[in-house]
This record gives sequence, C-alpha cells and structure tokens, in this order.
Amino acid sequence: MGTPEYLLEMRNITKTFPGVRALDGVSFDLRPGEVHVLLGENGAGKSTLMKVLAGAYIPDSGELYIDGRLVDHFNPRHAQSLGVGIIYQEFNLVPYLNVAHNIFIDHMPRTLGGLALDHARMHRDAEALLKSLDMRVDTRALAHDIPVAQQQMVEVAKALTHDLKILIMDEPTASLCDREIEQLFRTIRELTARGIGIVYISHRLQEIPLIGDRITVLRDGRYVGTANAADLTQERMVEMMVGREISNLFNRSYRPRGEPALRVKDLSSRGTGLSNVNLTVHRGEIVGLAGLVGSGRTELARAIFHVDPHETGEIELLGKSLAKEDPKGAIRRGLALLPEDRKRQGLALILSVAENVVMASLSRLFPRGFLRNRREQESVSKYVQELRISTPGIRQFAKNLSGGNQQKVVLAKWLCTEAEVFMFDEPTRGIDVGAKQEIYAFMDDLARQGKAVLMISSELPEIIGLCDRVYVMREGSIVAELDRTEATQETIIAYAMGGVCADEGRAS
Amino acid sequence: MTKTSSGVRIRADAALLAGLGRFGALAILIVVGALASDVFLSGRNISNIVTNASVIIILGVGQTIAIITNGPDLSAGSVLTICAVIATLMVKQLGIFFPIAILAALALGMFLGFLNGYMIARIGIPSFISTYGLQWAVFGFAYVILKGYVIYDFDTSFRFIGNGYLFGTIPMPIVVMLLVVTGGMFMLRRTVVGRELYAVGANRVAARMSGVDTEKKIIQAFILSGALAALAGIVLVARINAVQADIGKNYVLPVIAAVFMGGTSPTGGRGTLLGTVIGALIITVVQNGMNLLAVDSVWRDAVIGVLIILTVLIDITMQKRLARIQAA
Repeated sequence: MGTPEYLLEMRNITKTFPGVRALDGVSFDLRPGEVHVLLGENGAGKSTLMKVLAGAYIPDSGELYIDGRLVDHFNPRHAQSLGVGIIYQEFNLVPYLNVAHNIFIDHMPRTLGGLALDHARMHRDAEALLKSLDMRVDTRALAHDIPVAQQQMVEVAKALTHDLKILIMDEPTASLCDREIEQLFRTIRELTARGIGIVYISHRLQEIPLIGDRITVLRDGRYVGTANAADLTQERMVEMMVGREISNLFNRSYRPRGEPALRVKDLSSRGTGLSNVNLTVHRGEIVGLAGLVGSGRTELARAIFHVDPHETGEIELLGKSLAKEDPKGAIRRGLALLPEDRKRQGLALILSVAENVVMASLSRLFPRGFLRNRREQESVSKYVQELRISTPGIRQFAKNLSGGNQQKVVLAKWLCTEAEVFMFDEPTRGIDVGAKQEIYAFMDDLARQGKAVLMISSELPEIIGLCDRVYVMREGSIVAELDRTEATQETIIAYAMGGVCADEGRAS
Repeated sequence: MTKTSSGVRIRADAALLAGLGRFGALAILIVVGALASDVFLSGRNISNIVTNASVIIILGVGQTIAIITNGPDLSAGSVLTICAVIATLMVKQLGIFFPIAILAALALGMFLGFLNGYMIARIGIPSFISTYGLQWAVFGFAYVILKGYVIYDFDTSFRFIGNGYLFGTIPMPIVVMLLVVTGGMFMLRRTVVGRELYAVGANRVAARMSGVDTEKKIIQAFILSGALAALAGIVLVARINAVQADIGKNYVLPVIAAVFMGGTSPTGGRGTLLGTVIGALIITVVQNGMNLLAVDSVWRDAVIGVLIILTVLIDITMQKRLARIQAA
C-alpha cells in the first residue's frame, strides 16, 4: 500500500537499457494540488522517470502507487485511465486538425448512432473547457496556425478531457515569452486549485521558485535529494544537479575592443520587418542582441548572413562590403551563424559528427574537391577535444548525442570555418548548466582571440553576464544601445517592451 | 572527451549487419539457384545475369544519387527511351558517325535531367511530381517520333558498347556498369561534391546555412541521373539491336526498388552504391532463376514483390536493433 496522503509515489525505480542504467533506485512523490519540480541535467533520468510514470517504459524494479494503489501494468492507455497526463516539449497536436478536434482527438463525441462526429458538441465542449481555464483560443483554428503558447493551452485542455490527476509538463516554458509564461503559471495554479498534481520539468532555474512547491534533483540516474522550493538557492540547485560547485557561470575577461569587424548600416527589409538597423561589433567584443521573441533579432542575423534577402542597407565585414551574396559567400569571408533551431537549421541529425563539423568548411579544407580522410579526422578530432564533445567517436550519428553535445558540434562546425565574426542565436537554448558554462567559456575565448561575437539571447542573465555591449530590438528596429554598466535587467526589459512613448507602429 | 571507440564499432557493426543481411539474401538466392538448376552457376549464365543487371545498375547509380540528394527520378525510363531513339535515328537514318550520336544522346539526357533539377530546386515542384510529369511528356515525344515503328538492325560499331566483349571475354555492358559504379562510388565517398549531395539530402536547410549551394547540388544530381539514363539507353539498344517507344517503360520502379533494397533512405541523406548493386543483383538473380526453372509467368511478379518487401524488412529490422543499442 502507498501512503494515502500522496497522489503519486514512486519507490526505488530502476530502469536499465542495454549498457546503461538510466534510473537507479529513484524515488519520487507528489501531493494533490502541488507543483513538484524535477531537476537534473540532460541525461539525468528525468525523461525516463516520467516515461515510466506515463506507462511508456516498464521499470526493471521498484513500485509505483497512484492514489495509494499499486500500479501493476504499464502501458500509456492504462496510465491515462489512472489520471496521468503528459505534455511533451514537442507537442502532440495534429497540425491540420482544428483546436476542438485536437482536444477530443482520442474520444471524439459522436452522433447519429456513432456514425458521424458531433462537431457542434465538440466545439461547445472545447469552448467551455478553455473558458473554465480562462484561456482564449479559437476552437475552429487549425493547430498549425495558432501560436506556440496557445498550442500548449490546447495540450492542457486535451489532458483535462480525461479524469486528470497528475499532469507532467516537460519544459513548458522553453519557447514562451514572459507574458505567455505568466499566463501559463495562472493556468497551472488553476489546475492545482482543482487538486491536480503537477510534475514540472524545467532548465530555467529562475522561474522555479515562482511556480514550484518542492524540488527533486536527479543526477546520472540517481536520486540526489528533495527540498522545499523556498529553501533552495539557484546556486544550490546547480550544485545538486552538477555534483560540484559551479563557481561562476559567467567568467568574462573584458579587454579593450579592437577595430570594427562587423558593421551594419541602415539595413531594412520589408519582408521581415527590419527597419533602419545600424550596429557595429568590434574585434574582442561580445555584443548582445536583446529583445522579445519576434522583435526581429533572428531576422536581422539571417539578413546579415544572407539567408534572407534585404532591400536596402550595407553590411561591412572586416572592412569590406559584403554585397548581396548567399551564406556561402558570407562564410568564405569569415562570417558564422549558429542558428536558433539546432535540429532543423544547425545539424544534419542523420549524418555523423565528422560530416557535420566539416560541412561548412569543405572548400577550405579540401580546395581541390577531393576529400582526405586524414585531414578530416585531424580537424574534427581537434574540435572534439577542444570543445570536449562527449561522443563515442567522430563517426557517431549526430542524433545520438545529447542536446548540449549537439550544440557543441554546431559550434565546432563554425570554429572549423576559421571565421572571424560569430553570430550566435540562442546558443544555450535547451541545454544543461554544465554545457552552458562551457559554451560561455568558449565565447569568452573567442573574444580573447580577437574574434567578434554577436549573441542573440532571450535569457537576460546571460546577456548581462557576458556582453560588453547590448543592443535592444523592438519591432524590427534597434531601440537602445547599452554598455555593460547600463545593461540591467530592468533597463533592457523597459526598452524591449517599449516605454511610454513607444509603439509608433511599423511602417507598412 | 573522446571515450572509447565502442560507438564507432557499433555503427560499423550495424552498417556491416545491414550489408551482410543483404549480401546473405543474395548468397542464399544463389545457393538456391545452384541447387535448383545445373546451368545456374555456369560461366555463361553468370555472365548473362550480370549483363542483364548492368542496365538496372547503371540506372540505379543515377537513381541512388537522386534519392540521396532529393528524391526519386521517375523520368529515368522515358529519358532512357528518348535518348536511345535519338541516338539510333542519328546513326541509322542520318548516317551520323556513332560516337557523335552517343554524345548527343548523353547531352539530351543531361538536358532533361537539368529540367528536372530546375523544376525541383528552383521552382519547388516535388521530385515525385516533376519527374513523373516529365516522364509523360518525354514518352509522348518518343511516340510522336517513332509513330509506332521499331528501329532495328544497327552497325556493329555502334552495337559494340552493348554486345561487344572487352579483351574478347568481358561483355561491354558489364565494363560500362563497372566504370559507372566505380566513378559513382568515388564521387559519393571521396569528393566534396559527394559530401554536399549527402548534406543536401540529410538536411537541406542546415546545408544551405553551412554554405552549400543546395539548388545547384540538386540540379547536378538530376543531371547525373539523366546522363546515366541516356547511357543505359545506349547500352540497352546496342545490346538488343532494336528500339521502340516503350522500351524504357518497365525499368524505373524495379530500379527504385533495387535502390531501396540496397538500404538507401527514401527521405535522403543516406545510401550506398554497393547496396544498390546488391539490390539489383537480387532482382536479376531471381528473374534468371525463374527463367531457368520455367516458373509460370503468373507467379513471377508475386515472387519479385515478396522479395522486395522481405529485403527491405531485413534492413529495417537491423536498423531498429541498432537504434535500440545506441539509444542506451
């Protein structure tokens, strides 16, 4: 028997895969109406534990109680019938079905004796459900067409159509902006008020005290400890996750800047809404590009890299104008762009580490057009060692690496081009603290070697902790340039959101 | 930190396993053929099998390259036909010196391949549609030109590439096939272009953002496929000494089947020519065996179909097993 006080009790769960012990005697519990945060680096066992709970994996040993009753067989349907819902980081919506259909996807109400779907009722019920959660989503819109935050709401509503007791949320805030996060937190509080227990997985340490009641930390498949959220500082959380003290996440060696390396003059592009952008990045500098999601930061980087065209404006790279070319030309001239979406834009997942690392340097490494194994191996091994990429070998497929290591492979790809100017778009998104710290250290290294770095980030601590200067963007324009001493969280947010006199609207 | 090389070994093992699976299937079929028929393993029959497989393999090389980079080239059969028709017309009706006719046919194949590539890469029509559309148009032209007639009986000089022997022993189709396979392997494995073709197929967006001219690569891949279809057409008509407008009609799908049997990924970015060669041999060996055993023609298609599915099934099972090992 489990303890009646708990909605969920997992005791000594062990799960092994051939060659790896993914979970080693892990325990976890959840009270009704509680938000229990599950913390750990990538590969710590969080997902495996949650997959056991959701019935996707059968544990080798250990016990699982839901509502005090021992769960004796594991499959997703059964878990669902016991009241377990899970919202994965990558949503499970059918893109070309509408919101109501998605919400009732696995038990659509029928009419005409079961022959036809009862669309009217579906919309009515879906609307009522969304309204009860204070969510405003058009039930007739296609899932594909609504913003990510609303897609998430649909996932929540979908889970609620079953008799939900436990909701697992995997990195629910990963792609939300601040306002949307507030809305999500309101929704979570609404759910807990109904007695639903939430298992909350997140890498964003700063938001944990805002939403979590208790925290459990896992490391390398083992249970490290559980504490009240109020009792743990961020530093302590990190220590528990990494198992060592991370003295200083941001370790910058500021030096006097060199000559201008990248200069953008009056860049405008109607298609992407960029207007009159001016910026300069000097050698030896890390310059931050802050702003809300959708403020044009990514679009700017893509325009500079000539992925997307721009109508007017000038881009000067290392003193020479970078005329209208393509990414190939930009790369040859010493520019690098580490894109925001690692899996779609950064890596070819089905190719090997080596093939990915040399992908942008083929003509530099093999000017005659013929591959040379030795040369490839030497270059790749060099970066694998330098960046401490944890991979069984350079011929390993990229898809088998952890997120942090994949990101390092993308970084290696750009280092391998011997670029002089680096643009990083959300370089630490979705990777764990240990890898983050390493990537920060490499960016500092680049600056020290006299390279120029432009970093787009939505994580203000990393902008403030790392940058010499910060540009803030809003609605396709740069609205502020702040130096290190001026760049505080409050100032940046104020500029990013627009002060009193803001919102002149975009020229159309 | 690079750990042990166990992962490399696992991957090599898996590639080896999948390869061995295919190779094993071929070996078993050969053993079965040898047991069932006395003449199966005779030098003449083996030479026959490989010669028959040659046209499929030459087409298969082009098809593999197209599929690795972007998607299947359904027009290959029609390109084969029109190029064969044009070359033979030039030789037979116009009396043009045969090497020039062959070069003209290759140029036409490359041009049609360019059209495919252009439609796919620059306009954005999926390869399945654009090449299928082109196939209809090109077959149409072939009918218009021949009006149902058959052109036959060519000069021995022209026919050498199809029914001659190198050093009096090796049939020319085999020689051409071996050159094409070797050249293709070299390009895919040892050149920057080959690497870029894989990159485009594996992730077109990432390849473009890594400075690969993705549109150009796709066009190049289809130009190659077109040229090889033309070459296959020349070898084929030189061998059978006749051409009619539907000569290439039944080639494309068996060739694509051979490519998939060889382990090439339908979504691109992965595949080998060695696999395609084995896939083509499996199909040809079975066809030959059924000929020797005089299997009722009603059954032949069914046997081939089951075989195609089984071979791919072996491959997928191997891949899954590997994925499970590597996920851990």
